[in-house]
Amino acid sequence: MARLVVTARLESVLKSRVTALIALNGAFVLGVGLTVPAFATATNFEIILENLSFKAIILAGMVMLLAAGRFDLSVDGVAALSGITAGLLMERSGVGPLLAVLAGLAVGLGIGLINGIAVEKIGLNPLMTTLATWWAASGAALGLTGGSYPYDFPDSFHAVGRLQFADLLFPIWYAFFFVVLLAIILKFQKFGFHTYATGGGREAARRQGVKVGGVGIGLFVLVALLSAFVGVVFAARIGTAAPNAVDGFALQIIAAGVIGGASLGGGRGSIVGGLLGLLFLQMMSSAAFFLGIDPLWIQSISGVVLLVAIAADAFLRRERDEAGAGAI
Amino acid sequence: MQSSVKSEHGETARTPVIEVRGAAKSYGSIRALDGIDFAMNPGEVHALVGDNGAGKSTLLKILSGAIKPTAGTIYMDGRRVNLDNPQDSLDLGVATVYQDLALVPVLPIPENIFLGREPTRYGFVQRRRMVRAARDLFESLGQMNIRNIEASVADLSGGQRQAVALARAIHGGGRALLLDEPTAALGVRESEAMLELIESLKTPQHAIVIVSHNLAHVFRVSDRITVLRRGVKAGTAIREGTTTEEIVSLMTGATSASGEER
Repeated sequence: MARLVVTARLESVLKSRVTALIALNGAFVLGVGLTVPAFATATNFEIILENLSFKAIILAGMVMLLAAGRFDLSVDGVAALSGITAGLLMERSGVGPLLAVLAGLAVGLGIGLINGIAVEKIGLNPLMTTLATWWAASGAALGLTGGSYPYDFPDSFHAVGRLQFADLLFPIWYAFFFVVLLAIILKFQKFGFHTYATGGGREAARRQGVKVGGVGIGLFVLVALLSAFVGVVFAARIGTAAPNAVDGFALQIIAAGVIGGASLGGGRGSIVGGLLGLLFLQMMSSAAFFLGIDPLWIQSISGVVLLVAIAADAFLRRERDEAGAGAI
Repeated sequence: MQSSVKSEHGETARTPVIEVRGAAKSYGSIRALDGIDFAMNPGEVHALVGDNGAGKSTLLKILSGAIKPTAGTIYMDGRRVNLDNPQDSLDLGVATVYQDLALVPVLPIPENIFLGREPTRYGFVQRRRMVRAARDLFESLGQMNIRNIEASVADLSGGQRQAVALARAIHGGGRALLLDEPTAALGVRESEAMLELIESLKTPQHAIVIVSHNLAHVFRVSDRITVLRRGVKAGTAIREGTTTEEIVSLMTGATSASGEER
């Protein structure tokens, strides 16, 4: 009946957001491309895609964590410590690449469990908890290197970050894999439904038998594992495990998730939207390079974009609430 | 099923869906509830009334498995059961609609109705099935006037939200429905719709308890009224055989337990 007239609210908000972001990205490519033709080339797009891919891997998990009403600031530290752990094991302990990679992932698993249990079981504040584990992990990454970063890796390890398939680097394929897999889980699987329910109404979900603590712990572990994976792959890609390699990832990823429709309050968020937000942020840095803008300004512009995004979101939602209530 | 049993004298006596005998609950030296006998009969709306602190919510929580009684036994369909936690009660078909409804506002109606027990196939949630079931459910409930079944609960009125919570309780296979203050948050028109909804649920499959402060609403829908006062049962009356005055005097203690009947 009226179902066709009034489409579902959540659905339409998500859809319009994705549509708006596609339009925004398209307009951006067109605008900058017309000014600087070198920007809108396949080569540059591949560079953008490569830079994007590392963040996109973590983003897929982070959007789920945001949907569950949590977030994780420890991403940079976890990635650094995992990369350094794998790197040092290969360079200074003669451990094989496979075992070194597994050790790096184990670091992620451990920190993810600490984050998850501290927040979900002990009830610590997620901001302070993940800030603390970020500090601890990045400090440990710096301390372990003793000042010189490991770089002497076997070729089989480099391959993890440098091989190509269908003319695209492996990291881009990793990102594709995780984005598709996690987007399907979030949107269509029971775990995804419970993720939104946990973030949208923790107590209500708990009383209906949703294991809200388990959802939270699972997602903290997921984000930390993805971060660890990125730390290892990034080291393989650039040939060095540096403690500051991915500095700034966490905040950019959370910002992209919010631009893409997630809210820190939980219950909302889409991986595709977050990916489009990330693409926009990434294209801005690239455009700045071509337009000769000081990269330092990019951070400032990203901040303004984030502010505009959340302001527009709040405005649209208020508009909707005033028009909405009782009209169903 | 075993909703009716012939007694020796040949009259039909119904086996209560749930019956508690001698239920008591103490918190340290505080006695919240003592020696309560209470039955929910199929096809019947049983109202639980009493002043604040009379023990209504304590009794409701015992039935919903949220708290464990210190003494007393619980029977379902005549068989002794333990309701140690909310899941036990849910599994046995006892569904509670809490006063705060326990809904997730950002999510659409079908997600809320199936919250915690989404139908899946190969791990994938059968969303279309959920939407269809939600629509059927609301059509059968009739009067709540929800035009868009995929609306978020945040966009619904208080009465519509109440209906979503009720639909969830029914859909979960709830045979015993516990409704905590179902009209307290509603306006006049929505209260009326909710009362009609409760009346429409008066089928041989369901036994309903409503806890309410509103005696007009209680008299409107219930078949039986139990009055609690300071943790003990002040009396149970058949609706047709009693008056508001009598119930009020039981609530305030002006009359002591009399005309006890189950």
